[in-house]
Amino acid sequence: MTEHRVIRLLVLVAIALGIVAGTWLFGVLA
Amino acid sequence: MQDPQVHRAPSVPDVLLYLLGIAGVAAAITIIFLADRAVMDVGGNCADGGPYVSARPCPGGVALAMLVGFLGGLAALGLAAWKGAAIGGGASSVVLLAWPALFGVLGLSMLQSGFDPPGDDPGWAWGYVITGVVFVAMALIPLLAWWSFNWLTGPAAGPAAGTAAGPAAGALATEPSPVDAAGGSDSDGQAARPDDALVDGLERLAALHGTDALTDEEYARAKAELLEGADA
Repeated sequence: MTEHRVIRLLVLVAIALGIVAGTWLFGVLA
Repeated sequence: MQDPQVHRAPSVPDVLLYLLGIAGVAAAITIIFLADRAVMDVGGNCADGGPYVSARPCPGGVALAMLVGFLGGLAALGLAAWKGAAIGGGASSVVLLAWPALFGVLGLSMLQSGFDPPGDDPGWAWGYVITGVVFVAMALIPLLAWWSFNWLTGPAAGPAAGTAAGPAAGALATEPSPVDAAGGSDSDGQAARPDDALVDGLERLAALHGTDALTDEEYARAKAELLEGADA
């Protein structure tokens, strides 16, 4: 069960990092 | 001898690829949103190519960004769903958030254009407002359904947890138990009797209750449903 709690937390971190990465990539592409 | 209560821990590569997929989906939706805003900023539509000179060319790179956003987003969605299924416990249900996220941001973008239209037009652009409201509704209704049945924000997670007691009880009655999977109770080769399924279900419910995956109330409700199903 513990690992699923950690993964859930990492999902939120991944979403935040994805938004930052997407903003950066758009700046590169456009 | 395997402990029937022990479930396989997700492998690190599976988790890393799953997180990469989730981050990719978030990045793709961000790119689509920013590309949409860039088009809205020049008036809501644009065109490039062909033998004519476009009166409203697209902002530089927006077509490429849209392509990267949609194709990359679909690939990332597939990766997250695939590895989420390998992790189990409802992890792949997170990819369903991509729908409300995409329609939510596009709806908000349209609402912004509706309340503050591109160009110098005063007042609201009702076409954008109505479309924006429809898009936000398309985002919120599935989001509410997801919220009531999900793994990310639910109680403690586990192979059969992260669901309401009702669906959990249904799944418990039909899924093979860890004991069965480990070749424990049915190792003599005989088909499981209905009583065995009931006992397995009750044992798994008790295990979930013991790890706080189910509250006392959820446990009592799921147990009652399981017993009622056995009586029927």
